[in-house]
Amino acid sequence: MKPLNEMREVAIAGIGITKWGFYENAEWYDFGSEAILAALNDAGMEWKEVQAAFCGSVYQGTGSGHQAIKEVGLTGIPIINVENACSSCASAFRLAYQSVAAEIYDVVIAVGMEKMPRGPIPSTAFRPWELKLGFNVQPANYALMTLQYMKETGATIEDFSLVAVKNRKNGALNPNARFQKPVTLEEVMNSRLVAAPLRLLHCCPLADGASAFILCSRDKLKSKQGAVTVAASVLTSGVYGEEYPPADIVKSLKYSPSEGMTELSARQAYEVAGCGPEDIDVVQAYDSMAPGELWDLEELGFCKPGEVPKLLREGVFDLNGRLPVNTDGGLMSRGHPLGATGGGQIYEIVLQLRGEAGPRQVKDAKVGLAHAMGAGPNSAVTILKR
Amino acid sequence: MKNCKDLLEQKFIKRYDKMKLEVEAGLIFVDIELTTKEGERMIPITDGLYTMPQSPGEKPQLIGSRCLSCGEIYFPRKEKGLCVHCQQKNMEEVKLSRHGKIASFTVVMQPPAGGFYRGPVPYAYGYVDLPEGVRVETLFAGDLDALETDMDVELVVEKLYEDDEGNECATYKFKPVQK
Ligand SMILES: [Zn+2]
Repeated sequence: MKPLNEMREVAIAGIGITKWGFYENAEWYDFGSEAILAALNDAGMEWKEVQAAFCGSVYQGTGSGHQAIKEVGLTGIPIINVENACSSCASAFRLAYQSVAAEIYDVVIAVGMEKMPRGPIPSTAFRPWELKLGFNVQPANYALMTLQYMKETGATIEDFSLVAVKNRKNGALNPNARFQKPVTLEEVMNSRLVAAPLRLLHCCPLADGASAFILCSRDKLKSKQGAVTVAASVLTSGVYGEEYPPADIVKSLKYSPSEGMTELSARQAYEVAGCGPEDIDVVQAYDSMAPGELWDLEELGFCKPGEVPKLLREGVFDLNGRLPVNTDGGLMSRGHPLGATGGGQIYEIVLQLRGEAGPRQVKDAKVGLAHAMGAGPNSAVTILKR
Repeated sequence: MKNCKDLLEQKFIKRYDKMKLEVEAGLIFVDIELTTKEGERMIPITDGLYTMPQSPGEKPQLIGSRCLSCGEIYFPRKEKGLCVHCQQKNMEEVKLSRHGKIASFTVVMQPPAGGFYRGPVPYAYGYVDLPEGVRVETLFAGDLDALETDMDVELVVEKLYEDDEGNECATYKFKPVQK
């Protein structure tokens, strides 16, 4: 196995995104192809330069990437569809990155797109008997983790309510977010109870949307000025013994892993990138449920277990704080089109590193990290540098 | 009432004995389908999760697997007989303790997506740790407002919902122990 840090450098030539919300009169291939065209435009490239396509989605079904690319051009290149739950786009991005790093291709595209199903959907993330017992309620599965986190660290409901307040405040500055209205602590804590202790405003909203990324070797860049490069793109899919309720995995009481899935993926990513958590300037953490951001930041190595609530109250993770987290509003504001979510996170990091994030720009951001996780389980860590 | 109950139990035993003979003779495959009342059948939501009482006085138990190589215990049982922890194929089927403690729980206020769950709402589920060292994901029975972590609970089998054919679909649940 060749070490990833000995492979060719991979740059992000272009990025594209659509507004995230509910598209009643458009399908995933409509906004998927829109994101692809935006990424090509941003890269100053034409479709015929793209040598392979990796398309992430969860619910779109057979040949979903082909449907989007049919709107752009069929040039005989391989189109690979990637379903990896909420890490689908991050996984497609990783395959795209690896194929350029390994010098198989020079220019490739990674796409994430999703039109969320409107009716009942059979979830293959759960066994049929688990569905019959009603174990497929994700706010409830997060509630099971939250109760244990609260017991271990002394964190309160107010602590993770403040995550929602922070992220919705950032989302108000993001014209592509589904929710662009801030919320108060009272609104969050008085919103409808979904699965104790989680309330409606602790849960991210669903959304449709798409994003796309042109990745290439440095010599293929049309402009080398301020190019963002991929320092690491790592995926780990579960370690034995660790609890992961969103995929109905209970922890082993006899064998706990020395390192959890997120810690493992973060450590591998820092090793490949040649940096540590102390070098990261901006983070897109996984906030599908508000309390998740608390332990996510701890597991990514930004502080010790149980320290996040205190740092959050000190403003460390605010836009103008020492380590801004979910600067685009996170899943809480952006919404969660499963197969596209990881792309939304990477898109924001690229904007921040290019200095193009407008009113939510983090001053002098040089290194950024995005963490997409989800059922499976999966943990995808992407580190970008400028 | 007493007469009625006795009658029910007699029927229960009679029907079960008949079925046991059929199972032994290899005539029917499923051995966990039981008659409780005339015209109503109590069937588990899926096979192999728990044992059904052999007699009216007996209590159900969850069916797990224990690895004889590393000691890990699984619920539900591992159908392939392979230990996911040590990857050895050295497993035995075990009946798990009927008592445990609540490790975590939540009360769900709205029906889950997909329409697969047909039980009552609100409902509670979470984790129970059993003394032999295995965590079980389970629904909770009884007063949902009374649930607390570290609470002592015991296994029960209860009707979850009635299906379109009028069958009583049953499941294991854990219920706070009466003090
Ligand atoms: Zn074993």
